[in-house]
Amino acid sequence: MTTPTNSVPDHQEWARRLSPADVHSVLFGRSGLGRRGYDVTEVDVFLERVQVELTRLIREKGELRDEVIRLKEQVSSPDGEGGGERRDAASLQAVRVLSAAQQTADQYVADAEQYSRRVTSDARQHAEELVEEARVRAKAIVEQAERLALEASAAAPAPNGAPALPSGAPAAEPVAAGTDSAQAKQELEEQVAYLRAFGQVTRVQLRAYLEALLRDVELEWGRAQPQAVSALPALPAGLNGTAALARDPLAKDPLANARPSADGHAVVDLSDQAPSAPAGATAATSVEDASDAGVPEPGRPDEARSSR
Amino acid sequence: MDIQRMRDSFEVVGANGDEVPLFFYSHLFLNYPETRSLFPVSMMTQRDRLFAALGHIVTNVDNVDVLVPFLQDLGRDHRKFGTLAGHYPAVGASLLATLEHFAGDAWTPELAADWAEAYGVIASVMTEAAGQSDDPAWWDARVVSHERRTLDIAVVRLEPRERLDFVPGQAVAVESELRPRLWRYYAVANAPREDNVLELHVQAHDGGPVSSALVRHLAVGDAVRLGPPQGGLVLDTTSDRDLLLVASGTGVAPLKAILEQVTQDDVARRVDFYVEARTAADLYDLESLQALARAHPWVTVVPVVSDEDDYPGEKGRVSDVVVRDGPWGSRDVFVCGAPLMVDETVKELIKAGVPEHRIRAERFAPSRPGPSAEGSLTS
Repeated sequence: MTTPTNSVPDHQEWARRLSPADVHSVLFGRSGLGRRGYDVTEVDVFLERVQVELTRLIREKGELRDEVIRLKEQVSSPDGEGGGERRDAASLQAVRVLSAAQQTADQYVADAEQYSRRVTSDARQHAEELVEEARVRAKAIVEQAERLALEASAAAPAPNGAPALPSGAPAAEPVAAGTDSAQAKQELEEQVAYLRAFGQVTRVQLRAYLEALLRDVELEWGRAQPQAVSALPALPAGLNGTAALARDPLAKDPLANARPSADGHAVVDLSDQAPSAPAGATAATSVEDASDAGVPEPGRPDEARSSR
Repeated sequence: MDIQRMRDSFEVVGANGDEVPLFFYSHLFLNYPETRSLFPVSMMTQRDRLFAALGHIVTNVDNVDVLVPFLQDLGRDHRKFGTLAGHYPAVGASLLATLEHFAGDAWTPELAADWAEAYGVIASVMTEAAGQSDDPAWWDARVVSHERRTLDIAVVRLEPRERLDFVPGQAVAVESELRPRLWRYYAVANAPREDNVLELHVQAHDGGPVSSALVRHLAVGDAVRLGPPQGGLVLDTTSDRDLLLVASGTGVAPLKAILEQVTQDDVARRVDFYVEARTAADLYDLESLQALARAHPWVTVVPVVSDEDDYPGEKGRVSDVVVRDGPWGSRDVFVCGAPLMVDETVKELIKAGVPEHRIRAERFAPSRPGPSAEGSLTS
């Protein structure tokens, strides 16, 4: 750090010593991204010390100056005749006392500002981290919901006897004919609309089913086997298997009906996701199990498996 | 008057740094205790200001063209602090006592006479300018609305008791009872209105005593005092060129005032207003700008977000976006906001062929002027 005395004439017309206020409010430029720099807090703490020390030195220097003036006067008038000079010395002392009091007040204000600066900047950083975290989580949840909808609409049509996926023949036929492209387009759009609606319905059903299942697991089996609740229940085979099936009284071991998904993850309901659960993992597995569960899946794209 | 001798003595005195104003103010407060209440509790920055002003005066003491307007401004501006003509002799006496104390053996009766004469001239120019002004010394105003738009930014509307005339783009000094005797400048964010209401955009700086209080503690009904409007970031009334406005952060405020003024003019001028913020949430006044754009088809508002990857609109640095959308060679350009953004944008625009004299820029630093690492004042 250079002292203001070296500064350019445009900004600083008169040579000026570095003051405690300079140290208190100095602004450093940020170093560019990826470039090394000093730790900001360490620099701030050090600057505070420099400022306090500078203030102390200025005070001491003033006191010494007074002392010199007093001694000089003593030497020049050893008889002590100068009553006026004594009064001068007294008023000098008063100035010094007031200056010291002012410096103390300045220091308290500077300390308070410094403290508030640190607390607010910490609080802001914390708030920004929280917001960012929430944003990332929200994004993951939305992506996961979209994927689920897509999966459901892709996988579900077959059991209901609905037309196959867009990759299937009905979609391709009119295009191949090429006689009436507008009509083909319309048909395609209808098909897309149908699939979209179907996907939505399936998604709702799926969710209701999963929710009912979870409720059952918790209410009924949890009572009998409390330790089973702690482990998240897996999905029973077969989408047609309703919650009632799971309630089969003959089933001695409730978990025998359930089977873990291929990669060993348990299934959880989307809507019930605990904040601490890693969002990505649950997204992938619930989708996977839904399609695993007895639903034929013509060429389901593999990427749904690896969500994150 | 031996100017060289005065300068030499000031240099000797000035070598003692902060000690000098410390002595000056203590001497002043001891001998004229009524002056203490004109100043804030902490005198740390005040001491620096005194020195800066004195240095400026001594440097230009033989340059009347510079010195007289400076002193006139200073005199007018000091009215808002409650400075009266009667205070000037007190300050003069303490100034001379301070110079004498630090000049040592160099202090002679002739030098003292020179300084006394010089101070007399300074004081008479300042008091005269202060006396000639028809405006009130300050405007009492009331907070009529206070909206926290983000964690750090509040939009405050004030209603001065007396008419306060200003030119769009100008700023007013604000003092609140929450932080007595501390004045900070804020740009007015609207064109003059019938009901005299002023809108200010206040960004709280960490540890900034005034800005944090204005954002976090100020409430509707609170009283504030306003100083006379200042600043040259105003529209060239002789020009009818289209406009390019570039702002970041609360730099939006003065440019919004200018935009409002243009929309009220009879002659339609095309305006492109680029607003940069770190995140979409930090675009705290976008709605009102977009409302202006909807009402006036020749106004375009382009928000640019610098620090949020999945923002759907323009991303990156506003200077890049502006230059890419150019050329702007025929426009009057106003740039206002964070110092880095302003410097970068001005540099890029000049490089892209905009004549420098058509660019007006203002850098928004934290309200308290602080020296940079090189020692030059930043605001």
